[in-house]
Amino acid sequence: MIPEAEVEARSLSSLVPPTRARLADCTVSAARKFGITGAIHTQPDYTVPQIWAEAFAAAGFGGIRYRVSHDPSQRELGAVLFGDAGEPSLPVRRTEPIPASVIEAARQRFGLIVAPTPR
Amino acid sequence: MTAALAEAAKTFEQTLGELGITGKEREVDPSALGRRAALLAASEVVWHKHLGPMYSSKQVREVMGRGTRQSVSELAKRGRLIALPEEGRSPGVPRLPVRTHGRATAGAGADPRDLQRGGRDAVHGRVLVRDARAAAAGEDAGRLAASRPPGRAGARGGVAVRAAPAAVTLEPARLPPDDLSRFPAFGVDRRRSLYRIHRTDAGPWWFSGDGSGRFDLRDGRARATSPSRRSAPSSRSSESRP
Repeated sequence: MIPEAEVEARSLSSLVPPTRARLADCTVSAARKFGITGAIHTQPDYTVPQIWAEAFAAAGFGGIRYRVSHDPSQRELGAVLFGDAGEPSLPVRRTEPIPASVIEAARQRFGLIVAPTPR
Repeated sequence: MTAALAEAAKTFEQTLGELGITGKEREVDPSALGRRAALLAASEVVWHKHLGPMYSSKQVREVMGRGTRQSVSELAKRGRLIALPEEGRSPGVPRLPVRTHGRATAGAGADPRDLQRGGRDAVHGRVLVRDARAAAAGEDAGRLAASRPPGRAGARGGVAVRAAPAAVTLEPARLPPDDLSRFPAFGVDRRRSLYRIHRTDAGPWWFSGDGSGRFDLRDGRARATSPSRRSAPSSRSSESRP
């Protein structure tokens, strides 16, 4: 269950990567021989994933491709980009309220229901 | 369908008729209309079923070890305390499973004084911390947590408890090797769209470097994170600016 107000307070943006970047791909089998397991995507303590992020940045990667922990099927992928801390002015293709189609997809795929809270 | 629900559906149809809604309007999506109506009408029942038994304002004050009825009400208004209206009574606060100093405490049956004796740290912030490790088997492994605003006495930044299914902690990630030059790479460029759900009052681009994100860099550089394709909205809030 997700309070409707939490969804209404958010937007969905389509972003343009600012530069061409090589992401360290932690979603492929070939990452295993370097020591990557599913834990990198899901473990609740972020210490080791952050050490990996430092190592990838030091190795020249521009970010990380990973699996989103909210999805138990681990099909949804996420992309991390490295940059200077803060809120940069970078290209945005489109910003819109969370579409009803996304809310419906969440209900059908994950059983997540967006519901108004009683007043 | 039970007789009660059949009666509810009949009344719903009658009410729409009284409002002049025939169902033939182009802008009416019958499925969406029915779902919306059900959610609105049943929201109080649904949330109470979802969140379980409630603490009263007095019990919340016992857990916190301080405060007045008004201060509890103020915390709820500011969104720092989850509270739901209860029929004919003051708003109630859900009794979710909490963890106090590493010791699991049952949620619904917990005595607030036990939580208070167990230590206030685990129940600071929004008071309620839902911890999968404290939840009974089969219960939702999600979490609800919040931090106190910075600058307050005793405040601690970040999320009070991070929870996850126990299975993923059996084999924690290893440290990286020295040489990552041949690590698999995936290229992105300006032709690719990345999608991000973010608070409307904040910009979509945000590079976090405070350690709250899974892959935050701690050397002044940081990271922005984005699903590479549209993903579902989530109740999770581990990023500093979700």
